[in-house]
Amino acid sequence: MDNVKDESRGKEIRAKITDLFCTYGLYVIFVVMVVFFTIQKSNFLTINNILTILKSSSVLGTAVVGMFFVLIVAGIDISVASNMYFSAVVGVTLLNNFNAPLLVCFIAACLSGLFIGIINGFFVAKVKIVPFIVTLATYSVAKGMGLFFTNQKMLFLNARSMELAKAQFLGVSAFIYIFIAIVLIAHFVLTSTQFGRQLYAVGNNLVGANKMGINGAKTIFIAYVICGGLAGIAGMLNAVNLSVINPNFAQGDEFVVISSSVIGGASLFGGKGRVLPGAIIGIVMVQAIINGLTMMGASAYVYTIFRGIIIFIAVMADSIKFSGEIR
Amino acid sequence: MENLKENQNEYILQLKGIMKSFSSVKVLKDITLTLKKGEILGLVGENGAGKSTLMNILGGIYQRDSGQILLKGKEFEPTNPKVSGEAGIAFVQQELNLFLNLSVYENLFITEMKKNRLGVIDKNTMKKITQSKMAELGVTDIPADALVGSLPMGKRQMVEITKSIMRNAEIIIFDEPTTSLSNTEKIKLFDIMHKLQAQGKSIIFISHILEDIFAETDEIAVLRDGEIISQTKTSDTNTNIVIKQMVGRELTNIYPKCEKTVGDIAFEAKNICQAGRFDNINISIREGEILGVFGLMGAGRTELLRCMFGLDPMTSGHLIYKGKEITPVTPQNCIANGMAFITENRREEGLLLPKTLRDNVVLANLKELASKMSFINTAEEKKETDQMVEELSIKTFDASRQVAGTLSGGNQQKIVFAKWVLREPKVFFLDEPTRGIDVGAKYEIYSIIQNLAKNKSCILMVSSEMEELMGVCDRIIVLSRNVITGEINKGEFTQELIMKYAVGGTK
Repeated sequence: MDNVKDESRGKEIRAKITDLFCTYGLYVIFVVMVVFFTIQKSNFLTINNILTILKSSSVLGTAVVGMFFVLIVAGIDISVASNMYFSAVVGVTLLNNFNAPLLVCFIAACLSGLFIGIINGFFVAKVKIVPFIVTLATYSVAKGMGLFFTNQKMLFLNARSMELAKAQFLGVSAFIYIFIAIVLIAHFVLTSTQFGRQLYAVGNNLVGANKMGINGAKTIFIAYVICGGLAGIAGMLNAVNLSVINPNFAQGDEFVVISSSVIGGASLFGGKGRVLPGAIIGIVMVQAIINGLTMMGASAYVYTIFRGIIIFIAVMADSIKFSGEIR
Repeated sequence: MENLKENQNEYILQLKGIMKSFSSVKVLKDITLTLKKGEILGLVGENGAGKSTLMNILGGIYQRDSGQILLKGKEFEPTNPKVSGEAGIAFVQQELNLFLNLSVYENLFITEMKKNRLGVIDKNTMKKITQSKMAELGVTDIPADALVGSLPMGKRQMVEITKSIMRNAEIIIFDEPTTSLSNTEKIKLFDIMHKLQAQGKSIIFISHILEDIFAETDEIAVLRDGEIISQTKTSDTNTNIVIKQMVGRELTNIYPKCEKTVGDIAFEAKNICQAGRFDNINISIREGEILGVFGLMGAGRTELLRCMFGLDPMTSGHLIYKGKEITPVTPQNCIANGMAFITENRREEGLLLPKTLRDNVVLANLKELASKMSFINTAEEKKETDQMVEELSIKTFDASRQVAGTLSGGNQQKIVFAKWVLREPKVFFLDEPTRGIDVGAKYEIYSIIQNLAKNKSCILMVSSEMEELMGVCDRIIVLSRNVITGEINKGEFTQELIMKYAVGGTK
């Protein structure tokens, strides 16, 4: 009898450890990395470098906010990075060839992002094809269209884009203000509107939501459209930040965006996540590690390996947490 | 005339001559049922009597074939769930339609949130309304902003009930609401049911537990094989009458006779416990014995088999076959020790429908068929399959070419048997082995089961068809709410006795 008790206690303790690892494991790894970078490179933990990390976080962070909407309705969008590339190409073409004002370029990029979001949303929500497959297809299509329009050549941005790239207020880059504004708006939509709350309901129990009279398909559709639009803005921000678009632009960033969202508290199983502060924490953690590795002079390959490991741990923790929850 | 009109007004709901068939199977035959305003009507019936179908018609999920529904004396067409909801019919089901990741008040208001002029949701007003609506029901211990997922089942049900009164429901259908509740939660639930009744709401209460039905209802309707056998005042009937009405079915099926000898106890399950469900369940089966397990929906039949096969966690307990303990209890180890589990969902769990009969038959046996180099011996595979096809008389044109999905239900079930029989297990767990099979094929399945027993296997057979257990088994144990409430030997089998145990009676 005592044996049984011991066994069940052992199980309990193991479950607790797993739980702790899943909840705090990534933060622990993050803190260890920061301490390591700080010891190795004295200029890692300086205000200047932190501002750099925040600025680079703002670009992909905008896409992370969009990804939150899709993940909350239990979907996924693999096409974000290709979407960023395609939308940036559209925006920058207007900037370079038609001398359009920057704001117009941003609106154009956002619209092309929305366009891809609409395609994703239509096929996922109305035609009911698995989101992974739909967005894998649009991932390829958007990338192809970008390469087609640019003839696979590099696009150098018109000097006017530097106005925004260098713009600062109180010593902080304009990028960061844009990102924070987007996070605040998204947070408001998610927590203080009926639509926002219905997103969570749909992500938790689609069948139940439909029974209650929520239009589940429409809700999911809008989530993908929002994700697409924000990816478009993120693409344009990235172009302005780099002042060049090469054929590798944003390549592989879909994984950074998805894993940052999961690290920030969204779940691949839907119904979970707060943009404030989740989206910010997620992307800043990932960008800080990338920044530290770059400062250490690590090669691009090391960065890719690291990205893989981060994604793996984040998704594994998410799955373990999910299977332990009572649904 | 005047009198008749008054009578009509008394009824909030009248069902007249409701019929419903599913692909030529008549599920409801000429149902006539009435519900008075402010009344609690108990609806009882065996598994498959048609209770859920009837309620789903009311809820707009199924459409009836013929018959009339009168709501407050007017014709009513429940064409979809929304229409029923708006007409004031609410469901409180076992499977609650709640969003566990949202708070209580958000669940209540999810489709019509209170907003201010700017379209921003007004959390405080919603919380206040939630609090006061729950107070009406006497529920004061659930905070309006608590996450529903963090509440125990009983409280979740309170939220579901509050949801139904928020929508001004006049008829509330409670479908087996007590299955996952503790005793105190149950008392609270009944308390609320009576509060609703006092507010003039009408309630249909479906339950397998006759004790509750008799304690809480004003009228009882008994449903059997798609017909209303009786609807009477609760005070005018008693448990014995109701049990008789539930089971009074003629035994028409014929069961194969089989000469076999039952030996000594061979398989024992001792002190089986599963946290939150089973507490010290003991079962022993003799060599060559067929032991039946009866229980109504939710009694824990399938769960018990799954637990004893290691498919669901077993908190403690021992499985012993001929003096040797089978440990640890995992599906792999159970199979290795000569146990077999034939599941109730043969389509989902037991069979690979797009694969050929041969692939299916040898699936559980690949290791034995494989040669030393791990290549599958095709000739052997074919020989064994053909042998099984003949032994179990599976009807196929070619076992190596026909895919399992094209077989009839009965033949599919035989494939599932063949798959396991090949391994020559000594202990069989059968979960609803004849579900969805036509009468002829059932007979053949019974013969297969009898033959297994004749070959000295121990057989534990779960079924919701009482007559089938009475026809095939040597002994029947009855489960009710996860407890064995009765054990009956062949010769003492009566439908009334089995049902008495199943509805919660004790030894």
